[in-house]
Amino acid sequence: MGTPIIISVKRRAMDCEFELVLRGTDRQYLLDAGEEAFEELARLEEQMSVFIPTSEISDINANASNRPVRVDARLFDLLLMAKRVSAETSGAFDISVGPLARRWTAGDEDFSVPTSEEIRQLTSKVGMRHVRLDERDYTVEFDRPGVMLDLGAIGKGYAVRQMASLLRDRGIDAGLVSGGASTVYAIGHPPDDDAWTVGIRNPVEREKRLTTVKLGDQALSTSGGHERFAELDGIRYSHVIDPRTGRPADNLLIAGAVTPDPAESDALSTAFLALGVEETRRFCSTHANVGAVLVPRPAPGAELEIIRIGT
Amino acid sequence: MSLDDGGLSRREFIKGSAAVAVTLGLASGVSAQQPDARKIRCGVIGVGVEGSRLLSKLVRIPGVRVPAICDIYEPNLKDGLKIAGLARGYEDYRWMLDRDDLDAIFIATPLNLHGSMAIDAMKSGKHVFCEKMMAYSIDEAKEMLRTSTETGKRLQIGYQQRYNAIYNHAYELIKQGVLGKITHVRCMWNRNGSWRRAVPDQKYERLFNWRMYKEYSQGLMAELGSHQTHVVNWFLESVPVSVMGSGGIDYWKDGRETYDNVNVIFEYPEGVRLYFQSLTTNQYDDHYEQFMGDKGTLIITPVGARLFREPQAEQLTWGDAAHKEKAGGKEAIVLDADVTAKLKAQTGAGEQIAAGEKNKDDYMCEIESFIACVLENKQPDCDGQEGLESAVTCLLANQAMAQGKKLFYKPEMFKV
Repeated sequence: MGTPIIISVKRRAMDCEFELVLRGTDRQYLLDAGEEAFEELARLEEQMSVFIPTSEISDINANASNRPVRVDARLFDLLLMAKRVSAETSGAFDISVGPLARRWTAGDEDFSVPTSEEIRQLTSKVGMRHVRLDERDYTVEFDRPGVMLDLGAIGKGYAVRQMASLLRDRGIDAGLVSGGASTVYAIGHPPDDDAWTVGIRNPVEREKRLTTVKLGDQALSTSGGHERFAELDGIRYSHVIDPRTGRPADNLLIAGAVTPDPAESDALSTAFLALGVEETRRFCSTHANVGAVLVPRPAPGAELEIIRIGT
Repeated sequence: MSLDDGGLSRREFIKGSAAVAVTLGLASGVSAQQPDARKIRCGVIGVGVEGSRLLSKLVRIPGVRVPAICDIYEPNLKDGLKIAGLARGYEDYRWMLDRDDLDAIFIATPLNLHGSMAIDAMKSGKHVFCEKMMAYSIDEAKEMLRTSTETGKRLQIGYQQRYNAIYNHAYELIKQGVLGKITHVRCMWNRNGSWRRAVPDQKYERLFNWRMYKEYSQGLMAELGSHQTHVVNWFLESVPVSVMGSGGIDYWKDGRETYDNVNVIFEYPEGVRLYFQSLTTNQYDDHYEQFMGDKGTLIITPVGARLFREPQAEQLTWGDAAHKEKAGGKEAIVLDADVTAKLKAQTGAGEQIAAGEKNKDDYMCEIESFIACVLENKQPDCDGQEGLESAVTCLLANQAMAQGKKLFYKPEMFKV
C-alpha cells in the first residue's frame, strides 16, 4: 500500500504491440496482474491465429468442410457474436472474407486487379451463411470447400476484452488496455478526470493528432485502408475488402467505433469502413451503445472532415 | 458407458462380423441405443490456468465429451463451464467421482492433492490423467502406481514433452549415437518475475499462490524442474544415483516458503552429471535442455532444437544435406520435426526428419494419446512409472538442498 502509481508494460503479440497502463498502489502487484493478462494474451493468440498451424482456427479451417468441428465454447461464443455483427451490418463485417481479401493482398509485387468473374467466384466462398454454428454441441461446419475463417478484424479486440476482464477480476479499477493501434479499452477513469482521453492519429500527417475521444469503461477501435494497400498505376487498393461487393472499402480514410465491448468495437470499426457515413449513421441510430468517428476520403486538396456520431 | 465391461471389444467384434451383429442386436434389442464405443466421457478436477488449458484441448477431440468439471473456486468453475459448454459443475470432486458415466478423470489441482484424487478416481473405476508432478511425496506417487495396477486403470502423467515431435526426434538421434558418449547435461529454466498470481483478496492468497507454500508445493523443482528431469531420465534411459544442491529464498522475500532459486547437480551412472538451475530473477537463459557428448551437443529450446558437432567427430554421422545455420558463431544443424520427410535411421545425423504432426501441439498430442490408450486398452508412454521416476528425482533434490547434503538414491525408491 502507498501512494497511487501508474505502470506501463508492453508485449508483442498478434503482429502488434499490446500495452497495459495500470493504476494502483502496489507496483509488484500491478506487474504480476499484467503478467497474467499477457499469459492470457499468449493463449488467445495460440487459439485464434490463422498463422499458427496448431491453432483452433487452423483446425476449423482445415476440417470444417469435411465434418463438424467441436470448439472451445468460448471461441464458439465469439464466432456467434461475429455472425451476429455480420447480420446486423448486412455483411459489411464478415470473418469469412479471407478468400477475397487474400486475392486483393496477394503478392504486392505482381498485384493485378481481379476481374469481375474472379470476384464472383471468390464471393461464392464468402459469407456466414456458409458457416453452420450448432449451438447444441458447439460445432462449426462449412457447407462447401474453400470457406475459411479469419479473426483478424475481431481477435485483437476480443483479446483486449479478455485481458481487461482478468485485470478487473484482480481488482484493478483504472487503466488502459490496448491492442496495437486497433483497439483501446478504458477501465474506469484516471484520478483527475471522469474519463480517459484517447487520441486518433491523423492518417495524412502522422505525427499529428486528428481528434480525441473520451472513454470510461468503453472501447475505441479504428480501422483504415490508408496504412496497408496495394498500388497499381498510381491507384491504391485498400487491404480492407467490403465483403458485400468483393472490392476494397475505400469511401472512408478512417472508421472508429466506440462501444462498451472491445471485441464488438473492433468488428464494427471494420464494418463502418465498408458501410460509409450514411449507413453507419443508420446503424448507430438503432444501437444505443454504439458511437462512431468517421473520416471520409477527401477531395484532392480539401481538408479532412471528421464526422462524429454519438461520441 | 464403462470401458471395462467389455463394451469396446464386443463392439469391435460386432463390427467384424455383420451376420453375428444382427443376431446380437436383435437378441439384446438395444442395438439402436448402444453407446458409441468411440465416445469417451471425461471429468476435469481443477480448472485454473493449467486445467482450463487441458479442458480447452480436450473438448475439441472428436468422440470426447466432458460432462463434468470441478473446482472449489467458483469463478474458475464458471470459466470452466464457459469452455466446456454442456457440463455440470462440482465443488467437491467426490460427488463427481460418484457418477458412473465417466470413463476418465483429468487432474490439474495443487500438487498435494494429486495423490488422493488420483487414487480415489481409479478406485471409483476411472482412468486418470494427472498433471505433473505426479505427487507431493514418494509414498503417494507409489500408492498411485500401485492403485493403477490393482484397479487396471490407466494412469498418465502430464509431461507433454514426451509427446512432442522435436523431443522424440532428439531422443532418436541420441539413440543413434549422434552425440557419441553423453557426459554432461545442462537444464535451465530461468525467468524474471515473482511467480505469483495477483490476489485481490488475501483470503485467497494460499489458494491462488499455492506454489509458494510448502504445505501444497514442492516449489520450482517440482513445477519446472520435473519436466526437465523427466526428459533427462527418458533420454539417458536411466535415473540418478545421487544429488546435491543449493537453493534459497534470496530475492522474493514476500512471505513465500519455497525457494526462489535452485541449483542442483545430479549424478547418473557412469559419471554423467546433470546441472539444473531455475531462477526467478534473470531470464537470460530462458529454458533449455542441453545434452553434451564427446561427438556433439544437442540443445532443445522453446524455438527449436539444434545439433553442434565437436571438431573431432567423424564426418560420417553428420549429414551434409541437413539444414544448417550459424548459431553463436558456430555451425548448427537445425532439427525439424517434419511430417512429410522420413526418418533417415541409417544415415544418422540431423537431417530433417519425420517426428510428428505439425498441426497439433504437444498438449493436444499428449491428451489424444491418453484417450487412445483408454480406448485401445494400452499402457500410456508417460505412465505412472515414468512419473514416479521424475518425482523421486526431484523430491530427493529438494531434501538435499534443505539438508545441505549430498544424498543417494536407492533403487527401491524408483520401484513399487
